[in-house]
Amino acid sequence: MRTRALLAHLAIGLILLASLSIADADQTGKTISIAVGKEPDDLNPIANTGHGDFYDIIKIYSGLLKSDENLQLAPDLAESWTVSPDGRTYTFKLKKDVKWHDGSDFSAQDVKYTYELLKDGKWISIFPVSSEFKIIDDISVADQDTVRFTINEGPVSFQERFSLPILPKHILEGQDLAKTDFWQKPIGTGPYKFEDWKHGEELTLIANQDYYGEAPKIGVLKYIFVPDESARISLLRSGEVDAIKIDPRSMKTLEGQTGIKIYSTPSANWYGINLPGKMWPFESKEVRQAIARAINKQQILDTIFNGQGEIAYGPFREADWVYNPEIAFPYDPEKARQLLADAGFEDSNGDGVLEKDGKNFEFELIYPSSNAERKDIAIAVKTDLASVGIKVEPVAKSWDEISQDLYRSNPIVVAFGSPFDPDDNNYQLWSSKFIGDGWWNPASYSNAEVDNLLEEGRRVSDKETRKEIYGKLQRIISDDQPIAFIVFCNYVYAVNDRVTGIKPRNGPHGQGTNGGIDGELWWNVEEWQKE
Amino acid sequence: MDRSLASYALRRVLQIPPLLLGISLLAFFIFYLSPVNPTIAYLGLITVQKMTPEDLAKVEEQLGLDKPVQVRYLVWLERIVQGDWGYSHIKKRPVLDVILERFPATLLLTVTGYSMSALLGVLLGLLSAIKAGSRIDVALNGLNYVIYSTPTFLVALLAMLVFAVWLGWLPSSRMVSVNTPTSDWPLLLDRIHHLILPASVLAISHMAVFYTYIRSSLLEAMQEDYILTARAKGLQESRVILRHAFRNSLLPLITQIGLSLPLLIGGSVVVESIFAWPGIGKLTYDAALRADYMLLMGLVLFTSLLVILGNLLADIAYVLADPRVKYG
Repeated sequence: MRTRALLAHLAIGLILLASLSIADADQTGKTISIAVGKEPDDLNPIANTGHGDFYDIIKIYSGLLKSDENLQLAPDLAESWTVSPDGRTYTFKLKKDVKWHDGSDFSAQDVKYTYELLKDGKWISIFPVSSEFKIIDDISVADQDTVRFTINEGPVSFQERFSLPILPKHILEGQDLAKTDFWQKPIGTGPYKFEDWKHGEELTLIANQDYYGEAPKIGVLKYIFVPDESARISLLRSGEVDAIKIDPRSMKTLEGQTGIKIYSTPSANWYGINLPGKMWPFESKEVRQAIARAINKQQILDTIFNGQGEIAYGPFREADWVYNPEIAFPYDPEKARQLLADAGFEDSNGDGVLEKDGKNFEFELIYPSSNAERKDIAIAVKTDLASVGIKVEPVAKSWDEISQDLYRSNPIVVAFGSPFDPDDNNYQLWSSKFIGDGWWNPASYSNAEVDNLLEEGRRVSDKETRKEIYGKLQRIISDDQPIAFIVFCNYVYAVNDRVTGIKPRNGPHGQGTNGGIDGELWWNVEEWQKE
Repeated sequence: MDRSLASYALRRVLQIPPLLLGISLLAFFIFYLSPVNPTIAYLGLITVQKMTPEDLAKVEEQLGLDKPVQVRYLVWLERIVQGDWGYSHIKKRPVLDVILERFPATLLLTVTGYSMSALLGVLLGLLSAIKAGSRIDVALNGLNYVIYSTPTFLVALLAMLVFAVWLGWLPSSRMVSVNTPTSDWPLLLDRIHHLILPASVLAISHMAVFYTYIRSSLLEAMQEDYILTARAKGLQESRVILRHAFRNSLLPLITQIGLSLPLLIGGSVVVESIFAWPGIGKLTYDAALRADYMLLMGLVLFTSLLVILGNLLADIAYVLADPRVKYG
């Protein structure tokens, strides 16, 4: 009996297959649906990466400042802000009549509460970036609309931390933040309000009609969680979702399809080969320069990233305001051989591998096994370096096996990069202060001039001077190649072509634990429209 | 007989707690041996790379990951005995809430898939046995081996490629459309529409067991004396097979259903992950990747309990169905 009923259901289902896909089209109306590969663990906006630059906070929240389409700071909850000449006091004038989604008034007390939560460091497992806020000496509320921060001392880039999402004091005060259900159904001040979260399926937000800025044009915003890429592509094709991120190599299957537009947006994410300066023979500058010239970067870009990105010579991309165009050098295996010969390498036994002092130039190149593109890079580098007489053996290791020690004492395929302030993490990557400090300065790079430039760059606030400083820095790093830079990748998206208002901008390295509901191409989704 | 069955059932029920204790002990220490670093899994690599060792130690302490494994196990055991399933530090929610919320989706998928699988397997097995040695039998047998040796994930990806991506007949993922119909009938149809592909994949990849069982036990039954008797009585061959042989060959199937429950739960992990089905299979996969030990332990306990109870019911059903079997 049960089987008969089941069969009947199946039959009805089959009959209705065709009609369903037609019916979907006009129901979309004023909903934007974005399919992402990962589901967030919770909706805590401060749990994400240690960037400190909450430039793409979940749309439910907002911060004192926000990043605009050029990644420059703009006021958000603040009406205006001033910085004292010594750079130690920040005063924020807050917007008036801002309401929390539950109708309560937003005030300077909420700002103080949020920053103190982090400064205090008590909730580090909930707010892992807490330590970055230790340099705040004092947070004072001058009146309901004015907050003043005094910082102990810090880099110019600290002001990017003021995009920290503000949390509601009236709800969270006194709660166990590790167990509160606030992170399941949060209250914020942002353009969208939390509506519903079907775990494992989708998160639904609705437009906040009382938003202090321009209210979102699209009424409903849905994030759909679909781990498999071909399933996401299929949802986009059927018109069920409006935007997805894709592997650059999947572009071919979507290009030219009616109703779908491809966006290839730049990212600051660079890939390179870490060449630890403490390891033979990478202490030789000629050797590092040779490796950087022997790698066919264009080919890697074309085959592994489907041409979506640009060749890297240093840590900044062409689009970056500090980029120095003088640092480029061509792919040149002949020059590489010459440099290696200058460094004293020759293939005396004719086995195709260079030697020096009786030692073969051969090494293991580690790559993290979970990153397909880094594996492909490792294999390409093996081939390229073989042609100049260097023997490379790619070795896969999981991130759980790659200890800090292993990371900084082996040639390894690395990736990093920040689209934010030029100080952001370049300080920790290249300053000799950070040799042996955790994951920082993996090349154990030590150059007194670079150290000085890095210190200067984070103290000076004048933009032109900084541009000059970081320009010099790039020239030295590009010459030294402590890491052999290879490419910057682009992030590629496929979007329903009826969606307008999209503003692509430079993206960061990696994806946080929020799985992308807080950024990517949809960083300004509140401004999107759908024809 | 009822009396002995009752005492048998009671004995089996009493065996459950020590069994669960053993499973939980084993599971806890296997998770402990997993190479996944729970702090990296919790915070994400990029965050971890930017934190100082002192801060990381503090996070570990706050999450309770700094304690020795045996202490953590005993704490877990003490709580579970009191009915507290613990707290998922990744999801920041009580473990039992998370599991119960996801279970109905898995139940729907596995019950449908399993019924289809049993039905298909039995029908094809019957056909094969009747036509034993014929081309159909050889073909079905061959097909069966191919399907049995194809991993479920491959079947799932191929099915998605053909029916969702190329032909566009069926949805590629999810339980309902993104723009979910609001009225009852369209909603039901929408759900069935989404159920077909994952349930069929589950059905096809588990069909082999049923097929093989029915085929061999039917062939065996055909050799029995009572079949000879039935034929001698002049019964039609179809009646001989369906009434006499087939009914008897169904008995071992009851045990088989109980035994393949774990397989089915394992299969749903793969199918749910590929089709974005929001059940406990996908949940288990995520929990393992993220080293969410409390949730994993909850899932192990929950599914073990299901499997043990399933087996118990199958055994009791067997006794009820076959008057020759006695437990005492």
